[in-house]
Amino acid sequence: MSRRWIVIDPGFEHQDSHHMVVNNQIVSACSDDNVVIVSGKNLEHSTVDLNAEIIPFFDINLYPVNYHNLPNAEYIEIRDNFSQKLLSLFNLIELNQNDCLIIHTAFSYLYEAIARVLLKLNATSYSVFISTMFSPGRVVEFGECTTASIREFMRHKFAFSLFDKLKNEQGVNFFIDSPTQMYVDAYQMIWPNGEVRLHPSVCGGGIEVNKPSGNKVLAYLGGPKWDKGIEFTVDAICEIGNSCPDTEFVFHYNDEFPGSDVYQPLINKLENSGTPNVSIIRGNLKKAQYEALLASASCYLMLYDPEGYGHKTSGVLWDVLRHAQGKRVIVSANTWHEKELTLIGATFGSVEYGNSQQLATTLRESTFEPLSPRLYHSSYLQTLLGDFGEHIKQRISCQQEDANTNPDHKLKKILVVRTHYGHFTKLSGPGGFVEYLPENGYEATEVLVPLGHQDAKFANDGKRWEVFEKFSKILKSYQVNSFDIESEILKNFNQYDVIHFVDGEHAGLLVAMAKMKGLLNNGPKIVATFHQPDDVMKELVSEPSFLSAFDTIHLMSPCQKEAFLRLGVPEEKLVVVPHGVSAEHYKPSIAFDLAGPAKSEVETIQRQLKGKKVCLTVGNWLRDYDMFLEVARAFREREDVYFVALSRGLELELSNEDKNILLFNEGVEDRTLHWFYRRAELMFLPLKGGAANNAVLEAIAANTLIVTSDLKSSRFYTKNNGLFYSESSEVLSILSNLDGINNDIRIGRHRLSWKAIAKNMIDKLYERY
Amino acid sequence: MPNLFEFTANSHVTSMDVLEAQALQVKDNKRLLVVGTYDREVYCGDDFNWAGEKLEIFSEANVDKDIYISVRIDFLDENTVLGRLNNSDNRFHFEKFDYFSFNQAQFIVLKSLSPCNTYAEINLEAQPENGGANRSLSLPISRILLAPIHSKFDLSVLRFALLTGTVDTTCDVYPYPNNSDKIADYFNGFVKELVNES
Repeated sequence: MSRRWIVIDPGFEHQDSHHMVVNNQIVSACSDDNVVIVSGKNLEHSTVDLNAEIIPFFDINLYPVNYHNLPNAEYIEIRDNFSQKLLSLFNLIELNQNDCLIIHTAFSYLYEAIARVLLKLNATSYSVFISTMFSPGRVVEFGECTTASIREFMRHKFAFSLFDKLKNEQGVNFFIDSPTQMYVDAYQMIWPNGEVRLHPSVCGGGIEVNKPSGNKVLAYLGGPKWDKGIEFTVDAICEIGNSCPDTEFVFHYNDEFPGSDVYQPLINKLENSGTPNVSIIRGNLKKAQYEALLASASCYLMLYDPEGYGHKTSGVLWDVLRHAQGKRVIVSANTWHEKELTLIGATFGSVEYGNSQQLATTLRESTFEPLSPRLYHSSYLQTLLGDFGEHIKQRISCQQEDANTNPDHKLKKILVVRTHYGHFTKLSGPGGFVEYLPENGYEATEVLVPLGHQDAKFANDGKRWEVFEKFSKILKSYQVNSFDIESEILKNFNQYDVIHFVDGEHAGLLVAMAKMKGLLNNGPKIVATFHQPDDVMKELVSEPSFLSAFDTIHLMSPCQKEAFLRLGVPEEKLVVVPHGVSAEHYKPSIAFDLAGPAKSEVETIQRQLKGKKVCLTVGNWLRDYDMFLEVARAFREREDVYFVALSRGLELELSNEDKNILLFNEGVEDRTLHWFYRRAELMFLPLKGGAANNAVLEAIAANTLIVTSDLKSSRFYTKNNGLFYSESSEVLSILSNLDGINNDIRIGRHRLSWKAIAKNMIDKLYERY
Repeated sequence: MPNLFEFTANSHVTSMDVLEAQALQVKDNKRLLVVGTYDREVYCGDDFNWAGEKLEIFSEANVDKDIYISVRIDFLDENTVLGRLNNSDNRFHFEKFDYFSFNQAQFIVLKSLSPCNTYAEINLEAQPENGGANRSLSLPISRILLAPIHSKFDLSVLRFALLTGTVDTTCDVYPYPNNSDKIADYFNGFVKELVNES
């Protein structure tokens, strides 16, 4: 049954607008369905070539100049006027379950009006997609909140609380998305009961790759506005004078833009400047002209005023990004442009707003790197520059599929026992699969056991050390702290279908012995996971007979098998399911509540990196830092790349000549590490050994190319999709061609997400007999 | 018929110590109260409670249950045990069900011939203690286990339950263990077997 898409778009009043692009993409994507666009009354719809039913309807001005912070009386008036119009609209259009309302380019008063009206209707279970294209009065940058207007924030919060009421009481499905991570995180705070996602920026086209000859700087594009830095740009070009003789500056001056006359003196100044090769393009550009202009540039300036554009998006950046692969971009500091480019891990130039001299130097010296093709493989940029209509369609059908695949049925019960390691968070560690067990039919009880021997309850304390001494004769790494939960299991095992010891090195021995003694007959399936590599495992197990008591032994990597076979475990009990990685590592930014703020740390490091490429090395355990130093030192002459070593407490003997090496050994925030994967050109991971490696998993999730030692485990996790070396000459050869490395990881990155791994574990560990 | 609530609400306890001991039993076990034993004591590496002339068992689980009692026979012979238990004053009669030993301690397992429900009174022949507290002593009870009548135990599971007090939640045990010492003993013993230690 086809769906009806109803676009509530009072701002759609003429063809040459953002609204036209939005509606075009919706209509194209939903061509098999019915599309209804409820527009402003002034739209001459006979001239609009869209395959949709267009209803010119709204006859009130809903977009006052001070929309972002209306005085209360105006707010109420405009909200109520809009409510009245909407009520009469829904007298004409009766909503049903197959409808999806699309609301975009809206403000707090419009959201509130829509919510109030929908609450009055009797319709249920329809869908609402909201594109939140403006800041809700608060933004979040790398986990740090900045509130520009608490009143506007509270207005949004109230309106969205009404949406929540609609969701809970009338079963309305809401999809709230934003075109920049800064807003995604902010709206997520307002809309905590659903996932806010990134949506395409609604620019008018896909990614264009072109290599113009010569050095052409597109200095200004779009309607003339003070806060778009028109004056600074003109001053800066004048300042450059003859210092960049080979550079052509192109300045778009749209003199058809309302109120453009006021900028004419600036244009006169530009025309009379001593800077050669300045071209001024006038008038409203047609789509083709606009695209050709973007394609022709080799460098783009966006010198916006951070006062107005600190947290405000700009379509120009998105259009530039479509064309800027392999080209240079310069923005003014502290603008949204700078923040967005930082977030996506771009290399770019940044200048202080108003500092013409700094801009001239930056342009002349161009020490920062062009935008790497690597960026364009990121899911963030691909989503941002994707198709808005397709995004909405996919978003809504995904929800339906989820609903269809989750029929109510009786849950099986699983007890998950794992070690509580202080350094593991929700973002790391082996327990990430647990949250996905319920959606796969398992009711999970999770018990965390602290590492050590002191917490188990014995009346006679000597028993603790007797257990320690005796059990160590079988498994050296057994932790007596798990004795209590294992004793409890002997009483309660029949409540469970599966009992899983996630750290078999530390727990599960008592239960295994109980099974050997016949105390758990007809009981649940007992699974134990072992993490240690081959040689370590052989050291840990002194008396292996207990291993056979586990129904399944879960290994992280095929390279562990050998040790267990030699310990006498039948091969059919050994099952390899890879370690997983948190969903957060796939996201462009870690969720607000899952990590501390890192705005200033990221900004400081970004400045320190000076727009150069990064080869990133993470961690300490089993890393080969001799190899790291040998390789980094071989690249001393390369001025375009830093070798970054990132590990708390890591000591490297660096000399003054090691200027291309940056060592971060005091620990960084999780967010900063997460960002580093996106900022790095590649991850260089020299290893001495290992089974599963978090750094490899995180790099795969971030789509970061991996250059690493040729180990079985690394090949297993990357599905041979890294660049592997056996000796240093090979890695030197790989890295010397940094620009030419094919950095498209061609594996399904999400196969290692905990969501996918949890399903895999259930199939192979819990339900396979 | 007496029940656990009425007993705890109305009975006249003889001392604060007894009251505390009964309170602790109910706190640990929640569903079972056994009255008529003395404090736990240790002999030859294992512990037990001397019973007096009458055992009363109050259970909150309103289902028919078999009563299993494990009694030490390494210092009181089996015939004496049976004679003191299966006497003419007793409604409940017990059969020999199993024997086992742990370290130096030896046990007989006795199972009731008829089930009990929420209350059982077991009269025992006792003899006065020679010296000491001059208690009236009948059986050195290692553990009492109440199991729903259709429960099926492997012997290894039953012995483990009686030895350590560890049993699945459909059953009740007295005394109810609130530490893991006995389990530790059991598995430390098993480790010795596995690594061939004498």
